[in-house]
Amino acid sequence: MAAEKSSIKIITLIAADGSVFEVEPNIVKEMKTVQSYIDELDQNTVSIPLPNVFGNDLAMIIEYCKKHASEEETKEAKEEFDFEFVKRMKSDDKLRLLQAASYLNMESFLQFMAKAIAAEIENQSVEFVRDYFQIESDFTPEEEAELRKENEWAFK
Amino acid sequence: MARNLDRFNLLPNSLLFNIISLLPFKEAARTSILSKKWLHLWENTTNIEFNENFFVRRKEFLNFIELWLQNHKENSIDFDTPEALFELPINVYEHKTLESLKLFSCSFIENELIKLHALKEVSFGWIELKNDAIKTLLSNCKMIESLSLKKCWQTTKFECGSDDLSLKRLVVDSSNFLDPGFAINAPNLTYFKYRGNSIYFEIENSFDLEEAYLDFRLEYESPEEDDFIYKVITDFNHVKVLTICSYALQALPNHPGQIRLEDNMNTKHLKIMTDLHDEECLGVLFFLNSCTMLEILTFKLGFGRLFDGDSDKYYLSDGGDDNPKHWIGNLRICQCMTSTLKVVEIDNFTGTENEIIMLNFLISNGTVLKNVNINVQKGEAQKVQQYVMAFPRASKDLEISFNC
Repeated sequence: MAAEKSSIKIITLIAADGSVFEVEPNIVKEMKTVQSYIDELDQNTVSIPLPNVFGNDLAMIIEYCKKHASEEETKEAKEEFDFEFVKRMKSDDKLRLLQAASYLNMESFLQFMAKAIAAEIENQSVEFVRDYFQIESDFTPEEEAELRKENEWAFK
Repeated sequence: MARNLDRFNLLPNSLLFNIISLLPFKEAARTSILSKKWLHLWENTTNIEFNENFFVRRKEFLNFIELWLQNHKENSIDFDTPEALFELPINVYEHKTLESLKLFSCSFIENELIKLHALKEVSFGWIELKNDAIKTLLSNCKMIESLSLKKCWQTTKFECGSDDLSLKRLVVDSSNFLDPGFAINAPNLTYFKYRGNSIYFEIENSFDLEEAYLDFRLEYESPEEDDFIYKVITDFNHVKVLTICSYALQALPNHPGQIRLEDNMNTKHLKIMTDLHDEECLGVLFFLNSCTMLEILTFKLGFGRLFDGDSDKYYLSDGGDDNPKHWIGNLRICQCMTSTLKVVEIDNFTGTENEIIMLNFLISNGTVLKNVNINVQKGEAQKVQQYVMAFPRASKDLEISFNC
């Protein structure tokens, strides 16, 4: 199985906005969606449209994959990279990347994004979290008061 | 950008659920009032903590747990209800995929429990274990890698073992066995910790054991002139990291013969819980003589316990006391000090006379010493530092560091 796939040298990823990325096969290993597409083909080059991921998001994901696929980088360097990677993102970047990770079926990157988001909403008020996820409450004030009472232990 | 933001409301539940599971249990529960979509999402969180402190009344707490367990099936359950004896709800036994179970003050049905064949990690606390409970559990649930007993009591000898046991970690802390005795045969055991009375151990087949922690400070009788501790240490002489207690230090010199174990010990890192009282020092020398391959020696001061009545501390300033320190006559350079001993660590150094003598002995004779790290109690630092830095050094590249 694996031997015949080694013929593929370069993979072209085309983002939703038409921007094009050329990457090596080991970079997309983590992207199971892309990988399964490649596995079905038997060509030297492939180009894969990704209509659900925008170019700047895809650029970030590839940057992450490159760093983590590298065997030269130490564990510490990767952790340092992760830290800086999250630091330069806004909250809606994280939510978009989480969705992209889900679409591309990238297990560890998805977990990484979910952790970053959880860290941001931890110890925050209900209002903050609603704001964060752009949630419009559909409870009446009475309903909300009732729910708070029901799970009183969690709101102390 | 607005178009993108709209999409967050469409984040699929599976992704939201992913995030919720990374939140602490209480925080997860709070997401229930965000909106109707979120109302029940948190109830599937995989990160569960039942903590009585969350609740005002115990009754509410127990009701909550019971309701929860009726509605959910989890891979890991952690029960901790101090004092109150809680009965593990029947439906828990149906969770055939349960891997981790911690029961504190929570009773269970043994015959049902042993059907949970996926169990990897089991802890019991504050509970009576019935006759042979451990033996039965381990012989039925062969996946168990970690077993911990804390403040448990049992009416029989602790016994478990067979050649196909997966058990890697065993912790027995402050537990009582009415028929004192401890027999274990676990070929995969790598970590063993025991704290409690001095009881008879039979450890078989434990060739992979890397670290052992033996603490008999809960013993209430003073060490006798039998060779019980001697036998125990002999049984553990192959482990790489060994922690020993004040009781062993006082008991070992009672053994007739030389101040060492007959065979060499394999210990590379020795941790000694002591106050370096006169009664304990001969025991320290016993280990220095026996551990011929010792690389790191750690003194954890402040953990001594004397069994022969009270004894005064001898401070530097006390000057001439007329107490014969007979152990000093036994200070002789031992094999590890000139070949392997590289690091000496002292925790909670206070500068008693014995601490100074012992440290001086190690520094002025340890020819391969590289590091001596001393943690000093505040206030004592300067006095101690002056003193220690003046010691003659046997090793050329020795670094001595002080921390407060």
